[in-house]
Amino acid sequence: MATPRGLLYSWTARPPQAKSCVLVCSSVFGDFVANYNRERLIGRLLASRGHGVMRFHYSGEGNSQGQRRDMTLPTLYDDARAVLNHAESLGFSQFALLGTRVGALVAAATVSAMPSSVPLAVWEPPKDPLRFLAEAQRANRMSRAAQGGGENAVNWRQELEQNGVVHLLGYDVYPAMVESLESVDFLTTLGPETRNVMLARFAAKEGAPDPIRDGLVDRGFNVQHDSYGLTESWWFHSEKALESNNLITGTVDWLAAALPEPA
Amino acid sequence: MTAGTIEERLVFFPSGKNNLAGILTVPENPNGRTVLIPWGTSTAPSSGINGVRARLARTVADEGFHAFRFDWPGVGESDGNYHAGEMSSPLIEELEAASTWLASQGLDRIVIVANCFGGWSALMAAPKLAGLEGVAIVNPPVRRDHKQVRAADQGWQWWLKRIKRFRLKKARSAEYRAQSRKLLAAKGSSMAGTGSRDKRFSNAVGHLLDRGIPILVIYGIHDFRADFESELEHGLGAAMEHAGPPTRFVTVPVRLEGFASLDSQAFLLGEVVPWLQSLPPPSA
Repeated sequence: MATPRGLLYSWTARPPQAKSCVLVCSSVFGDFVANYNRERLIGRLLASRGHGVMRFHYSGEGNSQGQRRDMTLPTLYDDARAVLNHAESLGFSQFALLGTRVGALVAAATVSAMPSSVPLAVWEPPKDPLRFLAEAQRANRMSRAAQGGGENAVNWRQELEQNGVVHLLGYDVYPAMVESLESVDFLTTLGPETRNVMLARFAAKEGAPDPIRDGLVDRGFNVQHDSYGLTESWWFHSEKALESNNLITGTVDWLAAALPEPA
Repeated sequence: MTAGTIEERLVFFPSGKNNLAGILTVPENPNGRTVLIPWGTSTAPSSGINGVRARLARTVADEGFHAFRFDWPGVGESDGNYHAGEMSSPLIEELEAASTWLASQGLDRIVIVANCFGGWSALMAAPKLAGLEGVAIVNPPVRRDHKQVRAADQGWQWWLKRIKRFRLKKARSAEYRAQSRKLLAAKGSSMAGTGSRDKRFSNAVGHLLDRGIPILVIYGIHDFRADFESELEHGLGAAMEHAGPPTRFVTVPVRLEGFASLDSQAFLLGEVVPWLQSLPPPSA
């Protein structure tokens, strides 16, 4: 798919006569790789049930073209929109979206321009997207300490200001992306149009407050809120991501139920 | 797809019962050689951590090499299932399949740039790969099941922890039983002083050198390389020195395992690309 930032790498499942399609909006940086296998399995399972699926790599991420220094939240939105347009050109007409972590923001922005009948599933949407980077730096420090290196006391914001880039667990994060994540809020991004939402938490404690769930409910969204008992550190590429069958089948069941039955 | 003057094609090729997904990077001015890039086993797609594998492919394409990276079975867009980073058997069939597909495209002069278990697999597959003109391996294991063997060198505290974690349902898994047998056998032979050196790494490098194929071995200073250093002392070092440049080994001042730092990614490109450029022209 051609975009102004180059061509995007995508994977499309097109079961015969499928009109329904799930657009998968991945996360970025370490999350992109850590979560890749889950999204691959989601795609294959949905396809086996007769639904179309589109997965893709954002410009500047994975196998797609483009430069990471140009990547911002709006370019992620644009990439998702381009993939959605491509899906429509292939004949898909009934959509659902899945967004994971930062990808949940992308999915929310994309679905906000779609009819209220379009369902949205999200995994661990960040309440404060910049915490996504702060968590990475904490993980970075832990990783350095575990490897016997000295703890780097420089805050990631200071590093960004000084060097024009921050290095987080093997990923280069540029100011354009950080600035685009400032003051972004999942609920606002999702817009006022109410719809069916599946909110998957990896390890939420029962009865613990969840501002995103509560916000969705307050605004009249029909929310299914599930916790899957997964303990893992995002950003680290871990084999623990393989232990997530319940999350995968739970999400696929919800998406399949929310979409029209395949012909 | 094309990035400036570099074209990339997503392809599928058969390997046993699976179709594997690969990306062929096509240079603007081909020099006749193809860099085959097998990586370690994990669920990461063929772009690698922070796109390091994709950047390697595009960088060598700028130098005139075709480049081919692909997903192991059960990973990325390839068929199959991935259960864990299984490192008992080198992935020879998959490398042969990639090489065969490349040859079918007229790309029959290959240089391998491999990482971790991809390096071990490349060494074990090398005798079956036609048209091989160089091998660069990054942080390769030197012994089969190196993690299990290394773990067997642990003290009683490590074993006690393992025993505490034992659950009966684990014993139902054939994989768990096989792994435990290897651990116990390795520990037993270590205690009895009958452990034998696994010579296959050195033998494979020796075969390559006998064929006149240059080899580059790269480790990071913080990577586990005691096994490799032991092999150097047992004759591998002398053999590599005798072969002379461009055959060499190098230790870079970072941890290469996992490419979890931008420095490690920079060292990969900084060491491999000049080495590729230094390879002698092929004999007629």
